[in-house]
Amino acid sequence: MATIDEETNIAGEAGPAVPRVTLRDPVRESEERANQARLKRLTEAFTIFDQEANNTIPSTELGTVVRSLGLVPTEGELQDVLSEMSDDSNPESIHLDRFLSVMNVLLKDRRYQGEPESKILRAFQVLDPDNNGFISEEELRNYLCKEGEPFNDEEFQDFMTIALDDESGGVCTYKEFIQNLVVEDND
Amino acid sequence: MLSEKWKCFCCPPIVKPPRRGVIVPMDSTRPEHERQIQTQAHQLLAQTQTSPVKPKRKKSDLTLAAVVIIQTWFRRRRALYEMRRKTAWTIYQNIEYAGEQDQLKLYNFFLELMQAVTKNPHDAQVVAKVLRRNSSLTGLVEEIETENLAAAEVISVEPSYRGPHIHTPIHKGHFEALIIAFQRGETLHAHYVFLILQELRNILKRLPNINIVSTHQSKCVTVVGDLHGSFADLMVIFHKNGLPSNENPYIFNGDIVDRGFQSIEVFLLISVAFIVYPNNVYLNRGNHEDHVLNLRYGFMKEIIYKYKSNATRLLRLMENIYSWLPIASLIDDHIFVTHGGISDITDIKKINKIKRHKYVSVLSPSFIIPPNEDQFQISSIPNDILLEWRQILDLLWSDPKQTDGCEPNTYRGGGCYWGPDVTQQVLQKHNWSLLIRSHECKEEGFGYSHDKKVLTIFSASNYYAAGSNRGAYVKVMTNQPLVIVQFMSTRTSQRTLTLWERVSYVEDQAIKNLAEKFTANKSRLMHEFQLFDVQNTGRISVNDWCDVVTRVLDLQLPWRTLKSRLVDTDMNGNVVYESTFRSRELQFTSSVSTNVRRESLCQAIYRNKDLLETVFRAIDKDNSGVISMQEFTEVCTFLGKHNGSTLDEKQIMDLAASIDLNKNGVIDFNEFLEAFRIVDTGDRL
Repeated sequence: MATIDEETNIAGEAGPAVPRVTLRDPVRESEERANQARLKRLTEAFTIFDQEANNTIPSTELGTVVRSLGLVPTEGELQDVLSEMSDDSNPESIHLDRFLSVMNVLLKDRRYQGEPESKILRAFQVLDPDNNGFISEEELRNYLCKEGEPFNDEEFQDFMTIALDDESGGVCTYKEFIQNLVVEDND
Repeated sequence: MLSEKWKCFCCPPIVKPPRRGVIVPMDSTRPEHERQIQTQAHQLLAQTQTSPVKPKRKKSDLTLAAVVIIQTWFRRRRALYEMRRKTAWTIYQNIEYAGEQDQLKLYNFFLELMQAVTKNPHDAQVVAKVLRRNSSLTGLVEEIETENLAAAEVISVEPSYRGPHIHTPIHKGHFEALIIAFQRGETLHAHYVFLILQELRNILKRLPNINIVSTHQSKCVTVVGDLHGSFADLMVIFHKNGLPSNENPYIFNGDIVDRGFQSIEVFLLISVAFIVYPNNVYLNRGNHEDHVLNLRYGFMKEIIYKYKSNATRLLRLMENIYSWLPIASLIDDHIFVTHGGISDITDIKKINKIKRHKYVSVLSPSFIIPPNEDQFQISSIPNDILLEWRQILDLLWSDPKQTDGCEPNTYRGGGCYWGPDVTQQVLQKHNWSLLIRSHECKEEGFGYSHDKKVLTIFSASNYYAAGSNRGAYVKVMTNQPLVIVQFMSTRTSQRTLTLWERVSYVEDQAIKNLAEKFTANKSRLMHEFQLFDVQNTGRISVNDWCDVVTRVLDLQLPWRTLKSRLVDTDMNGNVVYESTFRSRELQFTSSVSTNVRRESLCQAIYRNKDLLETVFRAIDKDNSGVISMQEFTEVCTFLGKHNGSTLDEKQIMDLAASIDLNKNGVIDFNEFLEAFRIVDTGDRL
């Protein structure tokens, strides 16, 4: 779609100088705006952990930042992201520029999106072979603190606070819990 | 002996777990994660199954994959909350530091206001004395004046007074009696306050600028950071670490007063400890031991409220006492303790030569900055005076930064930001091994910087809101590593709060603070919003909303991250900007409708409530709670002018009349201030 500033001689025939035609591409423009907005959003999330106001964050905070932006990487995957973003000369911190370029790619390729709820339900069912509909605290502790990418005490305590079903006392009724687990932070 | 209601919570330090990266992928289309699982799961299943190896491994793989899915999703949820917690923290800090920058401006405004309002020269003098920046009193004149100030004898103690009685010589029994009285919420009689402060001053005057502390006898010394009037935290510290004594020395590293509600009690208790054990209790001056800050941050208000007719004298005496507080301590010749920090020019030899009591205010010393000059230029100060001032200012106001160099601390309006290279240089020059400082609130109550050469200790827990942060103190022991002890003074739960709880407490308060700021600036904000909304749709883009809010409130905050908790957005993702004020409004007790100009005045009043209250109380010398209509109108008019709005006396009088507070020509200002509240619209009748 073209916006015609002045009368245009479409055929471009020789004559008086042809005025310029500004071509506007609304699709492209809105893409640009979306890119800009995303950039600002990413930068903001990054800056929250940038204590020194020097465009770097400590590597230990990368997981929080990346996850809060909608990605669901495992700890192992996070390590990969970290190595892509960090600088050999300064492995303890991550610079904003590296962060932005890697994050843009990750978001564009829709990486680390996590599983749909149905798969998470299936995961719980694997741990509940008798199909009771619930798992005990004991069993959860055995699985979550000793296997896979184990929780530390703090993580486990926070997990149990929301996982345990008060009424059944001491067990996690996982079907309901999944709603709570997959909480969305809008935008 | 200490009351049992002061429970202590020995919170274990939080250590972030090292990352562990052993996983098994659920689907095999991600070749970069081919890692073999350990035999742990193997063994677990081996006990319960007898099938051959291959199916066993397959089942355990499945289990592990399931476990990882759950762990990963949980970590994501947790990260969202971590982000919210950190964001709330950012809000608090930004608001705090933004406030500190305005110090001098507000102070000058206040002085001008007082001069404008108190036309009676005698009155003006009295009031100005409360806030006087001209302390050119030195030597004998100062002594006589202060003797008069501190004279306790002129205040008689009524027989009806039931609180503790303090007499010289002050001893341990008095200290314990005060603890019990303050725990009960009692206020010490003015007579005894002056007695204690007089003793305190006499001892302080003999001290050098830098306390020389040795652990030779006691083998240890405990350093306590900012307390900010938190009596609860002081009790927790004494409970966990023991009362001060010759065997249990303490260094109090400044910022004892302001913000909290028991500043005077905390100050008195520490003073008495110092008087009883003058060789084993050390005081460092903090940036809040300064009358310029006390005006804004609550100590002045607290004194006026608790000590009424004696407040003026008391505040002036405190001013003088602050100037005699030492500005740093040196432990065993190698650990330097000061409130703020250091800078590129820090030099002990120069510091020792300074006559510290010239600096009645460190932020704005009256002998350097003339009181009535708006257009004052720093560059007009002679260099040697400037350098001397900086020595003290930098010690009390500076903050560390991560990168090298030293630059002015514009965030706070005083002191420097100093980098690791400066730490290295200054430590080396003086042969020190460590710098202990306070001044910055830390979530864990403490924090290391500069390769562990700088330790920040902050002792006021729940500083921003309940659950916002722990407090900590540090024990320095001869030839042993430092021991840092954390605590959180709460009366409710005994267990450590979960992340979910901490986030909700801290965040709620932070969001409330922001919502109040919005409402208090409603006219300006709406004006700006509408500039972007030419077609009057009631909506503007997220970008524009963030821009306006940042500019009008002058706060650099993560607005995009916060947006969902502050405003409504439509289907296209644009902000419905009226919802910025959705849940709160500035309400008056009357139901009289307000027009736009009046709204603006009301918002200005709300924004400056604290200042107005202090002004009103200062004018109200006999503490009757009322000031004349004339005085009230003058204050508000002045405020209006200062805000750049053209408000006339008639408008203000109309306002006061419509709120029906005008009784016989006087205004009950408590009622007036109460009339301006920001309330949830849900509360509206």
